[in-house]
Amino acid sequence: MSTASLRQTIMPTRRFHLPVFLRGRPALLAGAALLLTLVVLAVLAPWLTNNAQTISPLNRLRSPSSDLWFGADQLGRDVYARTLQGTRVSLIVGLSVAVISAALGLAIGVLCGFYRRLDAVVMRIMDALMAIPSILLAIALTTLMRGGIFLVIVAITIPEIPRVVRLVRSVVLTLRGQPYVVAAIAGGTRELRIMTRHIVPNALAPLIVQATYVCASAILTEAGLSFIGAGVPPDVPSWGNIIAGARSYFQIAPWAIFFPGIGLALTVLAVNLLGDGLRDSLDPRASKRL
Amino acid sequence: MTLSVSVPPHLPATTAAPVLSVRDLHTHFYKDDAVIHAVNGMSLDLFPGEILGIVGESGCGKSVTALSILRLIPRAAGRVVSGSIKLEGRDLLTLPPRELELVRGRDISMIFQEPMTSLNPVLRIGDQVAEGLQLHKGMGRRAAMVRAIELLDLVRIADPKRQAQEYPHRLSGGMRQRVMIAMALACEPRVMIADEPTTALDVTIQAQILDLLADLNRQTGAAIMLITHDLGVIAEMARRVIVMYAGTSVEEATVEDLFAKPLHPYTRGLMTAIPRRGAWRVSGGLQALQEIPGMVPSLREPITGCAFAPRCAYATQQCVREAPTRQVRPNGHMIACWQADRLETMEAPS
Repeated sequence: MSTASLRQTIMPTRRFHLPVFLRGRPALLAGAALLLTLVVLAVLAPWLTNNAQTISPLNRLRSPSSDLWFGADQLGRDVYARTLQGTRVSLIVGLSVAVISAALGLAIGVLCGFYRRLDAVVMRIMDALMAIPSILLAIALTTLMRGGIFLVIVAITIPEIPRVVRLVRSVVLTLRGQPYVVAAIAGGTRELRIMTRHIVPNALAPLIVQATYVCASAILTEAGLSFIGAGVPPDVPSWGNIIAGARSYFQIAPWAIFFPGIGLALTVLAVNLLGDGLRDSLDPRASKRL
Repeated sequence: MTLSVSVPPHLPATTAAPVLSVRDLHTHFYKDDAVIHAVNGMSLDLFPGEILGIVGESGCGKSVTALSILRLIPRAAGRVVSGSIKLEGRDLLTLPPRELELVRGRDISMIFQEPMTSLNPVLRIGDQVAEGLQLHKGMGRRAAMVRAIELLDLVRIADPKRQAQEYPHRLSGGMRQRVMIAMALACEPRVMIADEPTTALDVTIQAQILDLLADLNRQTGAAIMLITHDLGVIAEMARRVIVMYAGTSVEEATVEDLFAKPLHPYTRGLMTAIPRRGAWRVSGGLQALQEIPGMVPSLREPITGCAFAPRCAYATQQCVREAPTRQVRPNGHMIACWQADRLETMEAPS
């Protein structure tokens, strides 16, 4: 046996192989598959359904049937079309909040972990932000300005940022003491490069995991906001406002609440499964801690 | 502190000026309200191209001295209180941060104790070795990588081209320490500080790494300050030794002089504490492994008198009251002990 082939046998070079990676991680696989399905449905919604806003009085409160899969609501609107359209709002809000709060939280958290003076000031501001309930902030913002999905995203993101900052900051403080960071400083690496090359990549795993939880909670908060009328405007179907509109007819037409409710539950489940799966594979220590 | 006499350079075996010269270094750590005097008036000279051993037990300030030289003491934990650290005449303690960054890695580099955690787990090792080259030599990515592969070859990593593409978790401790050495060597520094480079490795790998360091010292002419608690390593590697106790040097001599005639009672204690073949069999007899009685002094208060006095069999009233002055013998043997003359006439331990 040649050295090269012996070497291959002893330590085969493992390339990243997605199917193999997913096989041992059922939660990750289930979450990813479910979320992917939901994303595809959301993207294709306009082609899979007819207009979600069409009012057809003849169909009012019709139960699910072969032409109205999920039945119709009190105005005769197709619940299937509206539920599918609602997926878009939920996913856009969930993903945007997760991405924006993760990005801002990472930047602020890394700087706070590095500069102690900045840290003292910024962390007090973060404490203050954390005290604002996102629902109240959203109500205040929608009263002051014309409501819209953008405002909902802003309102939910602001109180989420401090949570991400706290996480990133604590990770950065531990990473700073790591021998490889000290070694990089000893090698003359500049502070900015230490942050971008040695700190940030190593802080990404817990950050991604945290972002999935932020995403799930943002989806729920958006549904809550839309339910009380402080979320997206009523002409955009969202699971929250569909449920809100149909709640008084719950006893005679439960399907108008049931299907968007299922959608909401499935989406949050998918994101949380994905988060748990990622946590287990990216950050083995955190799974014991949480 | 009475022990703050500026010490003249001893043992100028070469007439060259020292490349690194530390004078009367004091480093304190602050914990709760207590001040911990980790380094108490340490002085040393490192001459171009030599290997200087620094030996002492855990907590005697070896590593803190090394970290102080590179100004790596975390600001929140402690700081260098006084003294001077001159690298080729420039005082590192007063260097502005930007210039300090340029000195680190280029003029003076460090090899750490923990090879398992001293490499960034998310970067390929080739990139990590190349980083210093891009930083200090202004090399482009490609050129730096070519040089990095040469360096990996120099530290005797087999198949360096392939290994450069690997992540640290795929390498053993010995291999990682080689990578660390390659990184430390990358910019051809004049001084390398090796802080217990072999402590975390098993014995056969230790020997390989030490061989490698000795070879590189000969090839590149980089002076190495080798910190260890192992007198055996010193005997094999160094030309000169400094024995540290309680944050300062207590004895300094060439390896031959120190092993032939250790003068300080602490050094003698260290030598009798080396396990020898057969010693355990006659346990209780003359050959029994000796320990140094007592404990390392608490560094929370400034030490009065000789720091070793409470553990020393030869201590007198003078030792307890007054800090010993450093005396330099004609052969360059430095010792900080009041009883040195008395001890010299007594037979050294076998």
